Amino acid sequence: MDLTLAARCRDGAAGAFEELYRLHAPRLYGLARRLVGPDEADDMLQEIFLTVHRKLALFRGESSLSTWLFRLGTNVCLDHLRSRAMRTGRLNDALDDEFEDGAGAGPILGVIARLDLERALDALPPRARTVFVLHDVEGLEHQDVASLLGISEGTSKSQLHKARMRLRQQLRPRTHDGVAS
Amino acid sequence: MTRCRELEEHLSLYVDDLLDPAEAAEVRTHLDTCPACAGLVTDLSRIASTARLLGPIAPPAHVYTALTSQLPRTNSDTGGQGPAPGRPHWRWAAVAATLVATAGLAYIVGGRTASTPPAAPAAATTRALDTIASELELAVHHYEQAIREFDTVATAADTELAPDVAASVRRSLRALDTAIAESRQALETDPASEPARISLFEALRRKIDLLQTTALIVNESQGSRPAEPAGPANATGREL
Repeated sequence: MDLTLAARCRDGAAGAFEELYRLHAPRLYGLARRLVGPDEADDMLQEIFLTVHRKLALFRGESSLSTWLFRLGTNVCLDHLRSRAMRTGRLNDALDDEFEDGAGAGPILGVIARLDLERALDALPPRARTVFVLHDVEGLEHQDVASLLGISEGTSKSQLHKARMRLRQQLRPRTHDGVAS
Repeated sequence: MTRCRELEEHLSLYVDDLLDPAEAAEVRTHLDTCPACAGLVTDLSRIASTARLLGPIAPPAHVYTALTSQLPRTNSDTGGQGPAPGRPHWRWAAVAATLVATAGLAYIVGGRTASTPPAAPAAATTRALDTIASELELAVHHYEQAIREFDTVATAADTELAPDVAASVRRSLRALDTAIAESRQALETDPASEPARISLFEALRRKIDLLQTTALIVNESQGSRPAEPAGPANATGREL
């Protein structure tokens, strides 16, 4: 079915590219939104599918179409992040914070609302956010994350832990006057 | 406290089950005696499990509209190559649209004829039959007009279908034409015959479906033909 849809798109069959978009855009939009942020997600999704349109002839069915599109979408987003880092001069945005020990005994987070986690994600620095999104949200192994980002597995693991610790702080329940408890 | 700092970076790996057995046992031993680290592990686990629930997000509708405006101009899909010059591509689309509209009319008329009450007063029955007869003739007229147009295009573009497909379509059309002729003959003998009316509409409907499907296949096969030299550039680029 993947090869058929890809072939129909390449051949310009009526409705094929729209069908491809409807099937795969939600996952790719979620990826783009979490990697580059809400302000640029719309443009990023367009760029992803324009790239898909140009490169669909390269799809040979060695992986599923979904996986192929995911890798392409990830690369497009990462290229954009690198380009943005070059423009802003923020080339090293890894988390270096040393976090305080968890206050008191026991967990400090209750049930985490997905919307709260999405908002907290937006506040992470790009590198840490990227590692977290690729590993925890998208389910990639550290080996694949490291390969995509050009870092070591050890760095990927370290950045993931720091991203989680930062999120823990962000998601900590606030007191009545807005101070973290 | 020192032990907590030493083990802290291992806690995410513990949550993800990436520690070797000895390391995992060491962490478990510490967690049994340290409520703070045990609480931290619980929180890290909640964050990871909630992250797994973050699924796809529906993009705003305007994104696709903006996307298609940037794609190379093609046929109605905008994602493929346009029709080669000289082929009556648009006529197949027009025929398909006519067939769909006619099929819709036939469904409406066919539905009404099928629901004719069997025991109506004589005068009302006569008026109903006159109305039904005229509507039936109108629907059949539209069907046959669309079918004639299709035949004209089919004759001009006979090579558009693969030989075995074309032969199969011709066999099916012959069988349907026989059914249509028999139903019309039955209606000439007995204009009030509901089974004959239903049979006629069913045969016409099936012929419309067949012709519509055939037109769509030809549309797609025309779209898959190699573009003329003036068509859009082929996709190239680095392998992923």
